[in-house]
Amino acid sequence: MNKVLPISLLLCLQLQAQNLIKGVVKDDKGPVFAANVFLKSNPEQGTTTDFDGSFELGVISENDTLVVSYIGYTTLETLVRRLQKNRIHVFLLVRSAQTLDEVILFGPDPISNKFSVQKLEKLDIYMSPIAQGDPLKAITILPASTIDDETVNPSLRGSNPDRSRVIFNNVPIYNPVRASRLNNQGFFSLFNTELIDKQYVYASNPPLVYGNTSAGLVEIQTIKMLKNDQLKLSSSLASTGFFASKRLKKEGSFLQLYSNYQFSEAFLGIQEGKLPDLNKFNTFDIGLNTRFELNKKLSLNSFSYFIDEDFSGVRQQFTYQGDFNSTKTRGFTINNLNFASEIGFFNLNFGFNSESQDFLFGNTNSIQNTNQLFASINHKVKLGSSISHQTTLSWDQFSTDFDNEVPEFFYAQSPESPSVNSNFDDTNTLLEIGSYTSWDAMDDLLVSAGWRTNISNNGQVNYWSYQLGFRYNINGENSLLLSGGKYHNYTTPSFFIQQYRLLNSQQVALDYTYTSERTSLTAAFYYKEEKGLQTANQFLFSDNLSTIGAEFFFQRQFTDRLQFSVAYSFINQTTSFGDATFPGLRDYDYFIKSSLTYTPKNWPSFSLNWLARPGQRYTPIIDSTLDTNTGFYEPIFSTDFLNTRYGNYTRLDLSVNKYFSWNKRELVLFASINNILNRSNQREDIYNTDYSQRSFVPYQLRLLYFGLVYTLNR
Amino acid sequence: MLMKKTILLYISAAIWFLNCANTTPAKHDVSQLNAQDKKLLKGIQDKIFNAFVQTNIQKDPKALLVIKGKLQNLADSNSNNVVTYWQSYLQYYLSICYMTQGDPTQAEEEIDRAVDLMEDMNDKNSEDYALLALAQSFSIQFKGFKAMFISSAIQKNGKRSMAMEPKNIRAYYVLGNSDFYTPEQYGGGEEVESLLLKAIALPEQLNKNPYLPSWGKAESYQLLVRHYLKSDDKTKAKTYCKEGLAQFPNNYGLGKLAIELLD
Repeated sequence: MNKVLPISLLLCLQLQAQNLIKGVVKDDKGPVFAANVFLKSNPEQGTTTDFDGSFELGVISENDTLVVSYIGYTTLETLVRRLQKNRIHVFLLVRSAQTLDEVILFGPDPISNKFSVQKLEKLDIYMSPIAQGDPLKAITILPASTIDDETVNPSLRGSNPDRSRVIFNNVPIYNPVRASRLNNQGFFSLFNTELIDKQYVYASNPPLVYGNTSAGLVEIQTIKMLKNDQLKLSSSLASTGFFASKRLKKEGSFLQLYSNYQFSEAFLGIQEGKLPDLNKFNTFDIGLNTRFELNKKLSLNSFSYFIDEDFSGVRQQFTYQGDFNSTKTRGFTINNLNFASEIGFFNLNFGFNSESQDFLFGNTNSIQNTNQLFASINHKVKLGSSISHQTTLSWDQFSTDFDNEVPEFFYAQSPESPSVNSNFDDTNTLLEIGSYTSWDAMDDLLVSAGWRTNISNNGQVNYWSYQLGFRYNINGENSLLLSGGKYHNYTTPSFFIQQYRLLNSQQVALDYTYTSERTSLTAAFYYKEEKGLQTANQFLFSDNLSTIGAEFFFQRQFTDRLQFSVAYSFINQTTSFGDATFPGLRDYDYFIKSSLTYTPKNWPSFSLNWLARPGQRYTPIIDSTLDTNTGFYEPIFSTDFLNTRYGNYTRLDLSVNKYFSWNKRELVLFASINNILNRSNQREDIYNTDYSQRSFVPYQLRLLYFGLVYTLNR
Repeated sequence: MLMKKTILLYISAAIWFLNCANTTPAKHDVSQLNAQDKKLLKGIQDKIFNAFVQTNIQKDPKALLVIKGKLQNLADSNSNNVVTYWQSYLQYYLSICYMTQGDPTQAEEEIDRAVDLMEDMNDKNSEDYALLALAQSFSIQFKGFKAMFISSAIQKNGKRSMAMEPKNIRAYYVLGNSDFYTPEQYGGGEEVESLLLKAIALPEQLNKNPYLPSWGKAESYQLLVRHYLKSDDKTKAKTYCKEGLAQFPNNYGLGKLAIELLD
């Protein structure tokens, strides 16, 4: 008993000697639950904060230090003697600044990616029922894709393809298509899907991280990591090629090399008459993508590509029909130097593109040489936990040299008809500066804002582009994106329009997205005013285009083996010629794309793809007068521009694939039948000698294609 | 006219923005939670794991579903990243439970929910990214052809977890786990040893905290032993099995491996 009393007494004395520190731990959003609070002298005997952020901790020594810590926040340390007794102290935790490792890992990601309407990864492209492994074809399934001439140069939400840009590793690639005709349209893109990590589609309101676009943007980023070495050999009815990838000794470094040769003999031989305007094609291309991790902070990516195309066929222009021949060589290189530091992520981008095209048809002989130099520097930084900011400076120089013999009279195009020289040699240098900020304003709300201006030179008009965007994530499945702004770009000179012309647009768009495990649903409404002289076709120019559109997309994975999608677009477009208003070229009451994919067990997978829309608009020739100088009739166009449509366009395609794998090998067998109903969809109107009879040139008829890809993984 | 429309649009957007600011419940406003809720979250990791063991013995997910219900009530009344974390962690075990009971469809549904919970979470920290990578690793078996591509997401989330907190044992474990299960033909098996050796050298928690995760160490020992068994290095397998059992004598997985090694 005697011993117990002194011990109790001691305990009481010790308790009295303890000071009780009371406090509340908060961050910028409120109380922090489960934060650690302890004394530096005895970390094991600490406490944790309550749901309301409150805590109490007994302190014996005034000389001790109170520590408040929580993962993801900067640790707070306070001398106990500085804390007043009998008072509730508030400890404000600040989220840790981005570590250098985080900068290295996430610096390369696009700052604007949360404001894209679609993100595609490599697999999405391969799995797309209509992509045929082509990244730009993969986006044509979207309702926002309004390509209406069986090509792949992106036309987004009714805009001319020359208003949108494709950005590859931060560098713009103009006209990124192969098998291109004189109008710079092509059937496949220049890109190999094996190189791609992610592809973002901005159908409206292109992020002002990039310039020189006034419609939309497709951003492609290449892979940063190669998991295994690979050799792919492919062969098909019209091509043969290889793709090899190899990791290098230095971790994170690798190279990818590929080449293809395309030939028409077998392809045209087995389907005679199905491509009436094609005589022959031969294409050779080679690409090399390398990535070097020079050290933890510094990496270099370099992609170089060369293509040589020879294309010949039959062309009709007014009353003349004859053979044409087009040869084109093109080479470009895109280089990116990435550097991570405590003050943010820097990348230096450099691109060079050179192309030369010869085109011969009737009395037209066109030699076009184009060079493009691009350089930019970007700085990305995270400010606090919720703001990302990018500053960018870019220099884009476009030089064009056209040496053209063109028809003196546009309706007289036979080899014997008179021609005149039409040369063009000019350079446009676009120097721009801008910044873009993305802010996680609240848990479910993201806000973005950007601006961009040009530093005018050579008499350029000074302009400012600006934008504002809100993404509201209603819950995990539903999201709304509201964006608007004003944008500028320069046209790329073409055979028909030999000028650099400044275009602008003002746009507002509302996009809704619902995504669940098996269902995807999107809807969009947009309005845009596009200004600046642009081509409606080779004879018509417009300086004002107004578009109101609505889009719906539904995709459902009904079972593990059955998937269905349907996309619908409504585009109301008007264009002005002087004071008069007419329908726009891409004015469609309906633009429907639908796809059904079935993958039975142990059998090949089947995809049926259907596309339907009204025919394109054109201005018919209603009369003619004989020109005695040339011997050709001069056509007289209807003054009611674009008032007539070609017949309704409908196309049904079937593709079949079978995948095998064994040991480290894979084999894909594929076949496709395009336009299986062999429907003659009208592409162009042609006339007899005096324009008294009109007939139509069709798009491609039923075509068969098949091949295989064999892969060896190591 | 267009300018007028644009201004009106911005004003509408601003009003909507302010409305959101007033009506959206603050995620961290948890002051209304009671002592019972706090009791539920204290030692929640062990509670979930014990329930999982019970479900395996009883061949019935009921024990896990009871905790799931309680966590859901807590999340409904006041959302918090800590609660979401444990909801996702529970989903992971629920998925394993259905898998062992031969119901892969339900298992896939549960693990997808685990992934969704973490993917939708805002302001993720190192622990959150590690759990997301773990759930994605388990989900990969259900994704067929997509597996190769989910693998890159696991790598990214695991590396982000590591970058945010280089001493987080769970970041190393999930990356080691992902490498262990990646087929050699796709570059798997090269880093598993170094990642797991690093994991077992790290503390389970940097500061003891009953509300926050401490898993990963016993799991790292188990996986390391299995890695050595796979590469026919029984000596190292025995060494680390013994070391692991010394720290976790009641660990079922390590015990099972010890028996295997004795055979």
